[in-house]
Amino acid sequence: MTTPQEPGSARCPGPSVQDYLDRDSRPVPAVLRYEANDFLGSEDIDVERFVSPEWARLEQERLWRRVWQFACLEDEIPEVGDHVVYEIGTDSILIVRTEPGEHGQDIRAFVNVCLHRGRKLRTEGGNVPEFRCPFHGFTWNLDGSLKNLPCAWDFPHVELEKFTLPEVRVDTWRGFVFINMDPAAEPLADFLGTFPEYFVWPLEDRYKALHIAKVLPCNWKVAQDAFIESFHVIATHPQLLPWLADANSQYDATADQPNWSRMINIQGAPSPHVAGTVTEQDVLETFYFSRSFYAASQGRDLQAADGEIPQVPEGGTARAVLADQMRTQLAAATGRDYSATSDSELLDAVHHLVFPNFHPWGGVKSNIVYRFRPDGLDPDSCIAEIIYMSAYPPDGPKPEPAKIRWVPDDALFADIPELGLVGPVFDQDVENLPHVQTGLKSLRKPGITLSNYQESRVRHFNRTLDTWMER
Amino acid sequence: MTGTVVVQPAGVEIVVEDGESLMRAAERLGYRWPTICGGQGTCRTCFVQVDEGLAHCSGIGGLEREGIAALRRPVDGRTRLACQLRVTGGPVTVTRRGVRRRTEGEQGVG
Ligand code: FES
Ligand code: FES
Ligand SMILES: [Fe+2]
Repeated sequence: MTTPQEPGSARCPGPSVQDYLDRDSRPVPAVLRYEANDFLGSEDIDVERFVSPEWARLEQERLWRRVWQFACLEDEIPEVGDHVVYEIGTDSILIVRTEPGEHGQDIRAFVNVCLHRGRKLRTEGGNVPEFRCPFHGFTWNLDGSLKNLPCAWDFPHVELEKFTLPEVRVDTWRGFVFINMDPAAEPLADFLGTFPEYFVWPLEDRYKALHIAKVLPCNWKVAQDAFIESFHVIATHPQLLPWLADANSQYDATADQPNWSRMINIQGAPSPHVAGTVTEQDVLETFYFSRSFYAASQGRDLQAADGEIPQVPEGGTARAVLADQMRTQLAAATGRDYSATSDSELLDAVHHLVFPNFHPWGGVKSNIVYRFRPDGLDPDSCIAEIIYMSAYPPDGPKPEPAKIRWVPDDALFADIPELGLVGPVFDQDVENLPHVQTGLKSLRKPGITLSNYQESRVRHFNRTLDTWMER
Repeated sequence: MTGTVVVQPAGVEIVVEDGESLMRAAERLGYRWPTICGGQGTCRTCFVQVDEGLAHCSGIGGLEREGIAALRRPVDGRTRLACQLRVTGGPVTVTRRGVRRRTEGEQGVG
């Protein structure tokens, strides 16, 4: 019946991502032609990591205190004294723009805690000329050196020159600021591996148009693992099936690149699960109807030009028509030229995960960036964020980065109209998460079972995490 | 354009230069103003109550807003940090105890 296969080599019988790229109306970037997936085994993944308070505590110590992690955008701290507070688990980090120093770097980061009695120095970002602790007034310069100690006569035992804020390492990638609390960590560029070569879209030319955050009642890895595979579309997002190719998504995850993986998911083409029941015109119409358009300049959704739904020509494909429409819409919204841009970059989800929690999407639409973080040391709570990095007219000034907006517990992502289609779809994803978190505690087997290919990124990510936890 | 401020209860009149803060102007004119941070906007010691002339006062920036909130005062323009407050025209009347002439040998701050 079937020919014996190497484990992990089986693929969905539908057309592959590469088959769709072969039929693209324009040349696609070489990086989208890359396809590599190492079979990393079929073992179950232990439940402990998702539910155990002890695991969360060790994760803080062994992962978050040692790994490069996305903290903020350079654009958020343009002026000297501008700073943000980045919270990760139980750690609070101050990232500040300083006068350029000897080594030229003018973004520095410090542990955001007063060395007197441990109050957090800053509870929110802003611009300050110095860091004055609100408790007793110990004051530090922007470069972390002690500036003033009130009643110094009472602290003869404190060596003022040595009372500097502990420094945290900073590096940047494409306008994104990364921090690392481990002085011995490898440089960010080494950590990222080949990822920068594969992310060819100019994120640095975009501005942060939207930043949404919400506390979710689940482990950060339960949340994250729900966004790095398309397998769940069949049950979680059945309304997407007519125009989203799910089971035939491509997953790129290799053993020699432990710190990043990728998924390409074809849109404007039907899921193999329903392909037999839809025409090209059905694909096109459902694609339009599922969208709740907000703003062409920031959003990602396609809007029917003049309210007219186009017709797929005889022998044509919905994908080609949709790509053309998107080309026109994006050009009008951004004043940029997309005539040579591939259909794939206009339509598909090209999702990257940079370990441990940075999720930039490729392509030329507004680039989504997700981030999932633990919420203190509570294994049952996390912070999920959605950022949109959008294009702006080439002759205009770069707009100010959007401030973070917290969605209250009882509100929905769908209540944020700027998210467009992503809002209600994200709500469907989030609906599963508390039930996974509680379900895992009732599960009568020691681990969760993963598919070989479609969930290979879940395995890849958790395997990399294991190497940090075992170090 | 300069501004004029009358500081009560002492009844001291201060002419504030363009771009200068009320506290800086007072120090320039030989008055002592309560401060810890020397006008950085971080110690909140320099606060004043604005009694009259709100329309002549500068807007409230992020750092000053934070300071006023920390003083547990409404951010309605009535409580200001003198090291951040700029004035055009006037007169503006403010209340601040402790503003007085520097005595012989006393150092100005900042
Ligand atoms: S705790 Fe910061 S000054 Fe005392
Ligand atoms: S003098 Fe310190 S806040 Fe004004
Ligand atoms: Fe989903």
